[in-house]
Amino acid sequence: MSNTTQYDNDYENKWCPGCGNFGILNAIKKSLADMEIAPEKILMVSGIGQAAKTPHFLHCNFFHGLHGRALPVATGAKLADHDLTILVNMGDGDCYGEGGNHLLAALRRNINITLLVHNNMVYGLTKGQASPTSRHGFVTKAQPQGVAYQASNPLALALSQGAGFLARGYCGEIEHLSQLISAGISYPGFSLIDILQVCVSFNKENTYTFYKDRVYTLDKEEYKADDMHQALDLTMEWEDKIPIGIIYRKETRSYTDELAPLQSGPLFKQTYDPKKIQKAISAA
Amino acid sequence: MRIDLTVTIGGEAGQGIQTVGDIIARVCHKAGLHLLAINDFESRIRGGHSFLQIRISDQPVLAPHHKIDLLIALNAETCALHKKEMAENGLVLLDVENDAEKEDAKENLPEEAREKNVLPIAFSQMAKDAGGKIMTNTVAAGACLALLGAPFSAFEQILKTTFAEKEKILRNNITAGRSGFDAVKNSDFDKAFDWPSDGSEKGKLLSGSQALALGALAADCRLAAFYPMSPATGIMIHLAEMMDELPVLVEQTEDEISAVNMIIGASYAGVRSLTATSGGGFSLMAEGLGLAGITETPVVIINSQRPGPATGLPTRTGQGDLLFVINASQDEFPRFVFAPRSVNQAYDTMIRAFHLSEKYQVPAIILTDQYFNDSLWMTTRKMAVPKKIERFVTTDEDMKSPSDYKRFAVTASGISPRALPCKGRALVCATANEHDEAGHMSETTADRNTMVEKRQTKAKDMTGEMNGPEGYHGESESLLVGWGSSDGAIREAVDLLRSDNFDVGGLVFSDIWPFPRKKTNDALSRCKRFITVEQNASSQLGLLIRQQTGHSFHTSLLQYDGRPFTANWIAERTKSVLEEIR
Repeated sequence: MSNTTQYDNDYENKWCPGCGNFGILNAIKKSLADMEIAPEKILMVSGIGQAAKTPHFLHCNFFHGLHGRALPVATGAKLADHDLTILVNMGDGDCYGEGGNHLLAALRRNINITLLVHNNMVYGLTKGQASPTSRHGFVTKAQPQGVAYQASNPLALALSQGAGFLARGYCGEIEHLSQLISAGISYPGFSLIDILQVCVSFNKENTYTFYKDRVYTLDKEEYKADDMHQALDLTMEWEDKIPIGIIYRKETRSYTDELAPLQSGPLFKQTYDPKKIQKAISAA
Repeated sequence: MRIDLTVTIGGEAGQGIQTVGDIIARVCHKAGLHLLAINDFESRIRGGHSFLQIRISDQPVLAPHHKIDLLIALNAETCALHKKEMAENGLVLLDVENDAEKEDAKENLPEEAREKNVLPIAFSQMAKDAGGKIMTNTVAAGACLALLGAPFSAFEQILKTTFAEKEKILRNNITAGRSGFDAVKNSDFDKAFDWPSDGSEKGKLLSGSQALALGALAADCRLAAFYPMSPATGIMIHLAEMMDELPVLVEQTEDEISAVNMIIGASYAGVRSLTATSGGGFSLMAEGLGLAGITETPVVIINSQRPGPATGLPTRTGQGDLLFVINASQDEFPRFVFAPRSVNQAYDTMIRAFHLSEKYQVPAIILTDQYFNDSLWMTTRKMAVPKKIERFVTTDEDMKSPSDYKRFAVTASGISPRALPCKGRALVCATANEHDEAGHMSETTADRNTMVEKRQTKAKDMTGEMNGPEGYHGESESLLVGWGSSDGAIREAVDLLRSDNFDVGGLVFSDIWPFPRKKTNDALSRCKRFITVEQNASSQLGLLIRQQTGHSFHTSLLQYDGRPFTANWIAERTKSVLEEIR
């Protein structure tokens, strides 16, 4: 039994009772405990939204930044010190809406960060408007005639952008989700885990029952997750059956392995050498 | 000044104006002359009209001159565009296709471009004869240097360093340069001078962008994230050139929002970091600036101004962002704003900005402009690298109980001990929300008031770090007051005015915010009146001085056409103002 209590803190939790975020929070703790990463060795970065509050409810280092901007902050921290273990928590509006451009860049950069998207298909913090993943026709106070947009398919999008590690988890399958998170953290490049999350207050469609009837776990023995076309097919499954598990994984090197100035170690650890700098300045 | 002349090379973008200018500038620099080269170009890669203007002297050059002594016209349009600026005995070297055209060249010039002293030369024909039209620039540089009276050996030496690795190309360029040099052998040019014989360089020749980049390196900047935008991109290019040698990473981001957030992340994780942009990009960074403010994360942001709003004049210069950068982002938090006056000061300012930003855990903004960034300047003193960098960070060893560490602990100075994440047992928690001392979100009135007051408390000591404006004949009856890169033109204007018996001095700000109120009051207390000189339409510094000190400017000399100041422009307008009072 892994010790998850070391990640508990005294800060009052501010989510609604029954929120899918609790399952995700527990899965994160379980994964960190399984991987034996001490609280002081973790850096959690988040944006704005209910999902982005996650780090406050964990005993760890965190930077809770601006709406949509968690990935640039996390990338900066990783470039500064690539020995850090960085987890990013964002919601669907935060990541796929406000932060869309940063997601595209992160996928291409392939830096070793694990991104958990708490995808509840609705805006929680601002009380129930449509999100990029709300289905076409989804009715809200802001979209009383129903959403006229098509829903975004973030996993298909990520795959088309060359993502190296893609997974889908479900907040009701904590053990399974914790394994996905661990696999994401172990992956040397950028890992995106889209997590089906229930919002008990504002999304009356994508409920625990909705997912219970549809979610099935990909069999690791049968499905190897190494074929992009098969993976693309899986990302298109939604109506009756929704796959969870590792959708796609390819061999990769982290971005930080490709950058010349980082080859002598993390930027943070390199020494200030005034003689060398003076020489470079004099030669310029 | 014994030697003081201006050479302008003009033509279409893509004709190699930069190359001609570079060669002439480097020959002069190597020979021990002083110079300033300004770059005037349109937002296009080919065509249009661009020019490079070099003012050469035996004394330090402070600003461009309003008259041209020697114009190298790579096309006829250049003659027309610069005709009004030609000095009394100025000379135009006009590029013509071939020798046959030479005779008719003057007559063929359109009426508005005809100038009394035009010397048509078949630059491109000579280049072709030497091995290729591409060397037209070398021919032109040769002709120009010969007219200035330069020894050919000085020219040859620069060609040798330019084409060091390609022997055949070097040989051809020397031949091309020689033919240009010889072509004007028998032509008289009034402004030819005796070249200094000692030939020791009087300083380092470098652009404003380069000075900023070198300053960042000396300040131990490790991460520079940016999105390309004129005129700031050059700073990042100069830093990128150092990536092989020094522990500095230049990261091109998907947008400016990413750039500012990335440097905040890097700084939080413990390395000094920088971004550079212009007003449009800075606008996108405004929310990130506030993030640095509320999370008390040190970062340095360069805003190299160009005229706006929106896209404005992308390749030109201005000083329209002063009040914007002081106030950018919602609500209030302390920040530093600096506007360096010279390349040496820009270098020093970078070191100082990183230092103060970390000392006070606040963002520092550096305001420069296109004129400063893109011009070639000469340094007046050595660029020294600090022996040590003080980082103002705390570790577990400094703490009684690392597990009780609070990132935003209240202190008398408002500065909390700053630990870095994942470096010890102390947890470093930061949030964009208002927070308690531990860095957790809080909406209590007590925490809100405590944190606002804690951040604002820093402003007092920060103000103490600020230098007052620098006076030049600062005891005078009337003072010309400006900021940043206008310094040189203002000083030269003061010299011109004083030689005409006007009791005028200058006062130029480089430390803008927190505003050095007392020092400004002192500097203004003795003058009868002051006139602001700025490149914006409302005299933003004048408004700031009035707001902060109660002193009102007599009037303002404002230029917002995107072109740099000349001393003559400032002096003539000052005379009008003062004569009206008399």
